[in-house]
Amino acid sequence: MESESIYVIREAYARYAKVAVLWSMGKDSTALLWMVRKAFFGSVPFPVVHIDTSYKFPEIYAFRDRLTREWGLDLRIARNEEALAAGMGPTKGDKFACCNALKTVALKRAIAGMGFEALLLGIRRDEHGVRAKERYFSPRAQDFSWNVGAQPPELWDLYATAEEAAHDRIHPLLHMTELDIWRYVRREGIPVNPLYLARDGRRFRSIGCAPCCAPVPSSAATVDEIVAELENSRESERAGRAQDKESAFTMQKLRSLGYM
Amino acid sequence: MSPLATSADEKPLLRIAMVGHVDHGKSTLIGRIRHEMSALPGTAAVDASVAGNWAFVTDQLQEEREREMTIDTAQTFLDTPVCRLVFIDVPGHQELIQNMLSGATRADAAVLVLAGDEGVQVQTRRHALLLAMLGIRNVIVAVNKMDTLGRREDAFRALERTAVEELRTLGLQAAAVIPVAARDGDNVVQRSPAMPWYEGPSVIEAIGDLEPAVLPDDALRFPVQGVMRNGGPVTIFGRVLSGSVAEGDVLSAWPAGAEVTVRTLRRFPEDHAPAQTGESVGLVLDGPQPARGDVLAAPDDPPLVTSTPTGRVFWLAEQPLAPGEVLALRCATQVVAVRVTEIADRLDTATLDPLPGHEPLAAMQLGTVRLTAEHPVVVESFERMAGLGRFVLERRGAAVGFGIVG
Repeated sequence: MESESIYVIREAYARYAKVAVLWSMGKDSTALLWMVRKAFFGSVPFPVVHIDTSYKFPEIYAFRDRLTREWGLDLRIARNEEALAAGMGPTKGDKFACCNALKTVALKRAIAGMGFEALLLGIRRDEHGVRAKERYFSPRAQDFSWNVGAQPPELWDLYATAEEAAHDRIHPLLHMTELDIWRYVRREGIPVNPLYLARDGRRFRSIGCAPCCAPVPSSAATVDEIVAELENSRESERAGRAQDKESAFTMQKLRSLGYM
Repeated sequence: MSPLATSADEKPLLRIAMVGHVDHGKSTLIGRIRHEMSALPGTAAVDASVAGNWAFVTDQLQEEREREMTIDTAQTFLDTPVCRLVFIDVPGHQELIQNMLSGATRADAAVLVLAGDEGVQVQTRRHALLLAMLGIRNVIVAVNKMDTLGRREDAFRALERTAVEELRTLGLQAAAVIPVAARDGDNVVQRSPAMPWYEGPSVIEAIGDLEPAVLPDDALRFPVQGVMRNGGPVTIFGRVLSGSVAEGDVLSAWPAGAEVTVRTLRRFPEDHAPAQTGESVGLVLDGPQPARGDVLAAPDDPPLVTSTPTGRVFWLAEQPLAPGEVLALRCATQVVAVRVTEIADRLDTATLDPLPGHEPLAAMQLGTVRLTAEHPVVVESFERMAGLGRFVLERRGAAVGFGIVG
């Protein structure tokens, strides 16, 4: 499972001159970053991009700065300053517009500004029905759009990358489930954001912006306890995510516009 | 089942593609399995939007739900006490064959779904042909919609005979042929009391009975994926396709055949143990440094090196493949320019009827294609080593066809 992911990561590194990895400091993208270090014998040989909405939890920023130092990362922060100056936020207007402006638009500008040809992302198929349809190598058009109904074929692990794509999204963790990630975190001893660990009977199962993520009831205060909890849980991972509740196809719409 | 594939807790992984004609019930069968098995610990309940329409478990796009048709392939996971099952849903519509292949090329086994009221249709046959071509030998046939046939044994036996015969002409043997009513759950997980005349396994039981495929060979093949020059000694990285590699091994790098010695095996954290099949590692070599695309092998067991590869090619693009065209061939980590020298024979994959050779290969036709490569390529027969026995043909980077060496 790890080997498959490392193969995809190395394939991206070997094939593109300008690659970056997207890091949200969540468990998935931190596990991805760990695999990048394993793929390249301890170093991360390309930039690490954080799409910063400015609404993240303080624990997320602290975790980011600590690992950036310890792992020697070339961190680039991408923010949509214009939208932030204009007051864009999750409490103003709808959440769809906020996610689109502060995440997708910020990402678009970062890619354009830094000229990345390929971006590594830690999304997984079991997270969401729309992400279940992703490819390992997923092309994006100039306007960032993703046409989920007309994706190019992906045959075995012989990844074709059409010349006309503006950039490619690379998804090395596609085959892993939430439980796989936690077992991997445990096996490898990967640092974990404290928000995931239960405090006062609640913990976050999925983390993002503070106003749009709700903790779930839990007593799992260690990684071992999280693994045990998930082995017996029937609740979906994104149950605490406001974005998914707004409308049935919000994720599909966001993703077709270039969302992660 | 590929021994390469293990999940994070090292339980074996079995990836099962649901294939067959449009509207024969592939998504419904996956959804029903997912629903009935969601009592398993660690499995999320089917979400409320499914509301009894089992196909919605994987049909999550707005267009798919409105048109009640799978458009893109999707995967859903199920952990059983003994293994992880990955169900790969694929569209049955022929316009969407490339999405079907994106799913099916990842499968170790397949369930061929056949609606009892329609029997074998064009896409049933084409999908079965593709399973044979992709080397997927573990095939279960689910004769679905038995409710439309009154769950009668004689109707099932007739369909069973047809299906077994169709598969036989393709060189496939069904591991089980099962009468199913996916919507109602008959013989999906539980044996159906409404079809007492059937004594075989349910779909899930038949999946559990599949024999894992055995790798035919353990000769070392290490396709070089890339070279890392910053941070320490120059390091070749890649994944062991087959066999194992240890420090001190003397190897040859093909297609040139240059001799190299493995000085150090690199991993993070550091670990010098021999690397086994499936593992991604780094190698520091003494001798001429190989490049991406080269294949390392033991000197006494070299791979096939050829400038004139031939393959059975399934064509995907609207614009046909014509003799004389130059495209790129991708095989393992190699990309080589190739010219089509001959299209020797062609097959209509809807009817399995032969078509005249020496004419362009159109979409959804299968043909024997002879190529001339700009540089020698390293290949193997598909039966011996699938990873070096299959290739993709690309036009301006886009996959337009794929083939099996030989």
